Amino acid sequence: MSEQKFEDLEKFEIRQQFGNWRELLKPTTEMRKGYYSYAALLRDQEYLNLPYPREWNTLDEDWKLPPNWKEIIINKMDELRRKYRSFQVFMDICVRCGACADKCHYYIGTGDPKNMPVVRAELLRSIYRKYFTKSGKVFGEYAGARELTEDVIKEWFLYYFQCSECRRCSVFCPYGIDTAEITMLARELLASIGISQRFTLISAAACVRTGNHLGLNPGGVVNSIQYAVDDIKEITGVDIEVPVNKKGAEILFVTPSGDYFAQPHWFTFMGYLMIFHELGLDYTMSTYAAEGGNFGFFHSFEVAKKINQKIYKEAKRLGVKWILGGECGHMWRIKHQYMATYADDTYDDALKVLEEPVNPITGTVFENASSTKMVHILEFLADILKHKKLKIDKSRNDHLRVTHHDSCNIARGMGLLEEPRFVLKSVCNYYYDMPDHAIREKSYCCGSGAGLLADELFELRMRGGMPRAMAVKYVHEKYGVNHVTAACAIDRAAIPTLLQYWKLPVQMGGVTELVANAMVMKGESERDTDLRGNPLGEYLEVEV
Amino acid sequence: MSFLGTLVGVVIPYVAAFIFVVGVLYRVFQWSKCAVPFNITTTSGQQYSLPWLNRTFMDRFDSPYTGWETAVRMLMEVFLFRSLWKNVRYELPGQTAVSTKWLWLFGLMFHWSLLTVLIRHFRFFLEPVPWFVTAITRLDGFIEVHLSWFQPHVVNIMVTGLLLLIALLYLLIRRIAFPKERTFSLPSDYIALFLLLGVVVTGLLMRYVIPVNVTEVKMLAQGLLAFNPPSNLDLHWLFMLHLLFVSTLLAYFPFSKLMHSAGIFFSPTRNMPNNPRAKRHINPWNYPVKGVDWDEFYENFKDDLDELENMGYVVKPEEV
Amino acid sequence: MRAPLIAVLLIFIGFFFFPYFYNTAVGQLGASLPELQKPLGEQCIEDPNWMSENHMVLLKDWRDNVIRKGIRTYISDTYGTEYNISTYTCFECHTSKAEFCDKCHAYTGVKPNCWDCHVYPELLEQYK
Repeated sequence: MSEQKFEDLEKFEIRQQFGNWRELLKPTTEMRKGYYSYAALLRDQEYLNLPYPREWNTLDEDWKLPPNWKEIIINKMDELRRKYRSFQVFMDICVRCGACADKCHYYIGTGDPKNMPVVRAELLRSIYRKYFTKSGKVFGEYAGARELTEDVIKEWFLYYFQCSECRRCSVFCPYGIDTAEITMLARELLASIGISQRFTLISAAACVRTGNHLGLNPGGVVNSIQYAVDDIKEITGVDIEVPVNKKGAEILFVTPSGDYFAQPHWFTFMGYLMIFHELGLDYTMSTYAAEGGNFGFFHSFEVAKKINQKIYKEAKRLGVKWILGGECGHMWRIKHQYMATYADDTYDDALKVLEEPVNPITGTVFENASSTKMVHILEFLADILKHKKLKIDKSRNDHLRVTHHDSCNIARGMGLLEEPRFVLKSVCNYYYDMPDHAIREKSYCCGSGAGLLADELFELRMRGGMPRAMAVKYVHEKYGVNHVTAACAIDRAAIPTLLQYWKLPVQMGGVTELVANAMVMKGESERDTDLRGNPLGEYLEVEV
Repeated sequence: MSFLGTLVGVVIPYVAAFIFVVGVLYRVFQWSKCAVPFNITTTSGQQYSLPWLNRTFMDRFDSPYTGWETAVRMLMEVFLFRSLWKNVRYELPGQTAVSTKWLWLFGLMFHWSLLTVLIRHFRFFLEPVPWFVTAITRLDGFIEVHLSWFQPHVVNIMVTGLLLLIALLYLLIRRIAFPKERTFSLPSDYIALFLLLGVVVTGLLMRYVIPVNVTEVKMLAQGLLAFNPPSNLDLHWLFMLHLLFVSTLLAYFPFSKLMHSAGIFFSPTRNMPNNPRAKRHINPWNYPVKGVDWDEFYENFKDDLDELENMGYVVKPEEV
Repeated sequence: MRAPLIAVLLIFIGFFFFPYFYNTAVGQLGASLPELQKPLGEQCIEDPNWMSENHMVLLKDWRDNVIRKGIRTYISDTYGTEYNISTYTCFECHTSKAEFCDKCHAYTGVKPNCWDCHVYPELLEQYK
């Protein structure tokens, strides 16, 4: 069924390549357009005080590595294997059973064997064997070991920036080997000799400087909120007020900065504000902690920590009781698994004001967030909707046939699977799940996570997103699905392009947007369109 | 015993067992010494959040919240290969993924058979032979067959021995015949399989084709255990070959991927509960990193922030 | 995170060193083959060493010959002597199951099913 569409997509072909272990040990350094990342800008490297800042170019022969780069890498590897049990265990115990191989959406979409998770790990493992194991030292390439050369570094940069750290392989691995962890450590190694990716570093530096990835000044953030309240007034006729940097509020609301600005995010952002207004929530947003995400996470431990500390610091400064987080993927991987661990004194300091999160409207205690004090907006909304604290008119979403894309990080790094489904089913009459192999913990990545949203990786992203697009196509053809939701800002940026590329007449947005769509506000004017201006009622035909 | 008999029957097994024990302990302690900086559970099911949310029975173990749920998850990984059970194969033409359980089946078959065979071998190491060893052996050999072309008499077939061979052959053939598996298989993957095949084939030969004197085998095993190896044995060459394969496998074990048997217990994505928001995980080597604090931020964006203060920290719709 | 280390050590030591501990605990460490009762006659029907390794095959041969083919006579390969195929032929020299058969069978953990159907010397004694 799908082959026909393939022909429409110009020149699309998956060239499945197979080889043998000897070929895989040879570094691939061919930088094909659409697959390699640009080198970081000098200004960002300098701003973040990264080691060996310099101007360099991925396509150059000479990457201007520091003279003792080899020593640095080996020493760093030695350090990391002591610091991360995951690293050493994952290096040692892989049996190469191959259960992970066709779980990677990049492998599925490109057919490049080095995109199989097992081989991606092997790129690093071969070096680890050579310098840290007896068998590798003695038997060399027969033990699967290889010499560390500049070509290996280039190969790492090429392939560890073709992994979106989605952890799908980790679900299927009988030992739980997590390629995301290996990729993170490989990027850490690259960062130690001054090799970083442009896109992640631009965002990370912007976030350190301005408090958000987009690099908006506080005035820009305020303006953006201003536009949102204006838009809300225009659509619903309701005047709403948004507290920003307000001391003494009960809740600090933090959301990925894409929500302030980018296209399908915008409606989700309006959604948050409308719901908080309707509930009469005592909350505040912040211009200092205006970012939930953390692109430092895609670079190195230190940059991630630099960015992560803002939220607890701001919570302390504003004196809030707990923190509510917006819809975002990697943000929630970090908030769930890393946040309180990253934070040292900032956490203890914040504990002076923070309390165990309690929903002020329903009285529900969020026991599962009792230490980090941070609650996911969908947990919060599920609780609100369960207690029927909002007036919902489901028919306002009747023009949509909805399906939900589980974002990798919140599915496999957090386990938030039922909350979005409960919320969606509470506000839509027509909800359909994609096939089993494409949802919940088996969900396919949008193809653009972990810093791969960069424009130069367009072809890789569209190929990596193919399994997701095909799953959407399936429900589109079967149920007429015309709206995909995802609780992730990267998804909201990546999937519309993906759907366009794969010529699917489906639109895309956040979960909260649909809640706000269906919500009947006090004092609202007659509504004949949804938040996007689409007419209510009739099935919405989305243009390709 | 001859020189060769002493070498293969006594010296090599001792050396191999020594390398095995020291090697495994070394690797295990090395792993244990590594820090676990973050709680990085891979969640494969619904988290524990709102108590009324639909959380299936298996979700509790795929996304464990408490210690015992995590323990059950580990047990299911070790004994049932839970993750491998979920295996799917992506089919490019149909653009769908279908469930595939062959690897799970043969993998599980291999490991359970190996365990049963090892327990059956306890009859050589334990004196007196305890009831469970005899019971397992009887259960394993409950099938009696008569294949006249092969053996003149009815023989008890030890099912696990044959399953072990079948599973190993599958695991080998998939590495040779399947293009993906051939691509990433290293020489070490084949070495492990060949050593195991050597052990299994010599073992099966002894049972079904060339019988050896098992009382002598037991006397050797008992002597080795008591560090008093007997010197008067006349061991069969086939048994010597079997022992040599076993010794090689033992000595190879700590340096190889076979360490996965111990490593799975150390896998941080499986052995940690999914509760990092409820219970803070401490990173033992955490160190402070300086970021931009509020004062610096305020200095940088003074005008914007002062204007926000003038607005009373509230954004309202513009009056039209 | 000590739990995995403890689990692995317990399993490893439990499994690998189990025979050593077990044998020490029941006081049989390094037990050699127990003394068998000396059979009464001059010589066995075949070479004793061969018999100890192959008696099960021989007995199965006997069984098949008697039941399937009606052959009741066995001619010794080693000595050329004729014997009547019957367990009673064995019992002439080997007068105790417990003191002869069971010794080796227990030592090597073998549970033959001969006695499911056949009588053995002790049982004969009891019903005399």
